[in-house]
Amino acid sequence: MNVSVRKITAVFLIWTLFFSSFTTIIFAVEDQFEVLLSVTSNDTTAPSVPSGLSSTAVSTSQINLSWTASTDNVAVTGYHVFRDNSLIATSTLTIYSDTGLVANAAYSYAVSAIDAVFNESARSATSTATTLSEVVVDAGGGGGGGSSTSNPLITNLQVFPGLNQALITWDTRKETISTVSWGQTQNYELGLSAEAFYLNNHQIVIPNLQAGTDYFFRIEITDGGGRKNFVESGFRTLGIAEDILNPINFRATPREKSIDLSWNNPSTPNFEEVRILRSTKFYPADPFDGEVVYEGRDEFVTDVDTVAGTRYYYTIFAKNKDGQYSSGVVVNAQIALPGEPPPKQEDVFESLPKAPSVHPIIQKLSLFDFDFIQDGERKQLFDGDTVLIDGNKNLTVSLDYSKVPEILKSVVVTLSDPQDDTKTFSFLLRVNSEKSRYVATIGALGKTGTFGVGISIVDFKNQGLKKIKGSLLASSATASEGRSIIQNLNAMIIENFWKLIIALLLLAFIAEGLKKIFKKNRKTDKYNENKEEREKAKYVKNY
Amino acid sequence: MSRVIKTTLSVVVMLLVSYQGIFAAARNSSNYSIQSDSINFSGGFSTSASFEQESTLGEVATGPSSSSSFNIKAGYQQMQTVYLAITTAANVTLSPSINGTIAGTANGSTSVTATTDNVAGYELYIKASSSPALISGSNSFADYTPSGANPDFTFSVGATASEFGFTPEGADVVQKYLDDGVSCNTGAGDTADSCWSGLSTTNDLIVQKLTANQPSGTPTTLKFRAENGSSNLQSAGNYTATATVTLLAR
Repeated sequence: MNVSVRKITAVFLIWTLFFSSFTTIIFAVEDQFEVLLSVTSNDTTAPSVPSGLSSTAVSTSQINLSWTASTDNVAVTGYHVFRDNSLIATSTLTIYSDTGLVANAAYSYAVSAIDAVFNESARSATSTATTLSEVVVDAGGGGGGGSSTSNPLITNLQVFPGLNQALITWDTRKETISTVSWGQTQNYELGLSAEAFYLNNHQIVIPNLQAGTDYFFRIEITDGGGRKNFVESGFRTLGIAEDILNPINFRATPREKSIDLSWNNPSTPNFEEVRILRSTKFYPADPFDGEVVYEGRDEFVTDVDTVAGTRYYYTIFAKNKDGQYSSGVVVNAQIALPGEPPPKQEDVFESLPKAPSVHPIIQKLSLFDFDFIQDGERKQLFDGDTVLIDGNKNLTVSLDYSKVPEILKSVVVTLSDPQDDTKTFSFLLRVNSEKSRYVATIGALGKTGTFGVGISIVDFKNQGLKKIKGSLLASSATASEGRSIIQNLNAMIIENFWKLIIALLLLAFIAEGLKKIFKKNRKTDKYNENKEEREKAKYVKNY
Repeated sequence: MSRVIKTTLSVVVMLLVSYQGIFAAARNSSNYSIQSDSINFSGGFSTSASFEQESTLGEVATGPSSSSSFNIKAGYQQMQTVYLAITTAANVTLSPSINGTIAGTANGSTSVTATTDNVAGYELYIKASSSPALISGSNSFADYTPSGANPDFTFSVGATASEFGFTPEGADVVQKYLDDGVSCNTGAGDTADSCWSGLSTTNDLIVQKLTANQPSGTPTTLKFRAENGSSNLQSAGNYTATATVTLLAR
């Protein structure tokens, strides 16, 4: 070791040791930090006060209540029922049967509406009813063979409203014949149905109702001795409001170093802009779940921040002027690696692991469980897998919330083009604000023909996938596809590109031919003209 | 080599060495365990290309002991003067805010860089100060519970629940948080936003490095996620989880 190096080493040692006396030489280090989250409750508005409370005694121990639904800025989730100023129940329907009462006693009722965060309305006006007396009526048996002498009584009255129908069930201790009438007013103007036999357990399905509409009904029972009783009540059919309209025709076209995205904006006046997000893992499920690619009102954007060989999952959301987003439309694309053929547009869930099982409730789902709705009406399924729709109208696809388990899942509907089933269009279903349905609305398909329908339900908890297939038969559409004149012209040029080239070549050949013919004719004319002049000159000379 | 150059180089080297010490002192919290601050002129100091070794004379070692949490090396010779440091983890604000009346997910992350000159490397742990971790008064998000023994590859919360979880991502994340693209604790992948677990009040080993990594260090990203199920009503409030990362020399 030379002197210089020894000097440096010594200085180094001294320096290091000097600093070591000021430096904490440590064996374990801790650091603490905080994770913060703000949870808000944006809903501070109470629902409106329920109105039209009606109380009807139907037996010595039961009084049925009905009232008109309240409204709320978000959603009404239920009603508190008060008897004599005491809360006795919470009902999600606008009817309630209070049982276990004392005969011939008066009860006073009121109801209030609540929403999801328990904002509560004021109570309704009270309604009073008196349970029936234990009346003994002389009577002979009856058609049903009842031997009791009391009036027939209705018990266990229940209403199960659906979208376009309602199931009503009730029991009578005696065998009775029941007559049911219904309507949108208490005149029961819409229909009447009578049983043909004496029964104890009764039920009726009231058909052809409108979604989200209030109805009244009256059940009148008659036993074999001609003794009668009745009950009046009401219900509201399930409502299917159109969801916020999604963009349509969302397509991704990979280029050499970028991906072109195109779509058609919704044509509603309330449309504000679209928001496109992407992820390399899976389709962004909400407008804040991924990288923002684009926000605005255009119908085309190029994603340049891309890497070859990486598959990108895009979701486009339409935002309305109230700041609400549509359920989302999805597409994926991948830029080819150098020297490799362009990757195809993947089936929506092709890349997902195919797990051996999904939740048993999801496994049982079929196309019949999904509602295809236009103008508030459920479109009928025929042949088990085909739904007839109007190609010119918005289409809402909906799944009852109760039909799937409360586990993390994605529901995606994919439509394939009638002329080219490689052209697909996929959109997400999401829970509505009432948490009653998974729903999505898309604009008019703008085409006639049979669209393939694939519904994929991804069960993230069980890592499983359920697929359902069917068809949409779209009729009476005009083939505009919602495009502008220029877009239609462009599409026509692209679709007929080779025909146009051939036509241009033919035109060129024809023009060339005509040119030659014209030239030849000119030569002939000139020759004839010269010949005439020559003959004329010859004639003059001879003459 | 000229003298000026040599001197300059030596000064630079010394400055670098002292900078590391200052760096370590400046980036640590008040909860240090001080292992050594002695000055020793006995013995020798030798170097090789891959490690440094310091020896001393005339001291009696008391030998190692251990508890369930820490290994303690007491006595002069047993004491290792290793350099160990982590950068300060920034507080995490999960975003966006969640509307407690509807389904919502909030995400956030922070990063810590661990550095050591210990040839055996280090271990990094994380724990929460409370159970459940994410609380606001009497309200809370449940600690994320994976569906099986291993972390969940996909963050999944039932419609009637609200949960809070985390996942570590980085070069030396332990096998438990690695994946094969489908499941965790298998494969060697570190798929982004995968392999979720809940914080608990006991230390959870998240990173293990078997070599020294001074001076560059190794960053680890800690991602946090809170989710409110679609049918769950989560009370409004400012929720806070206090997390502690502990870096131990191996």
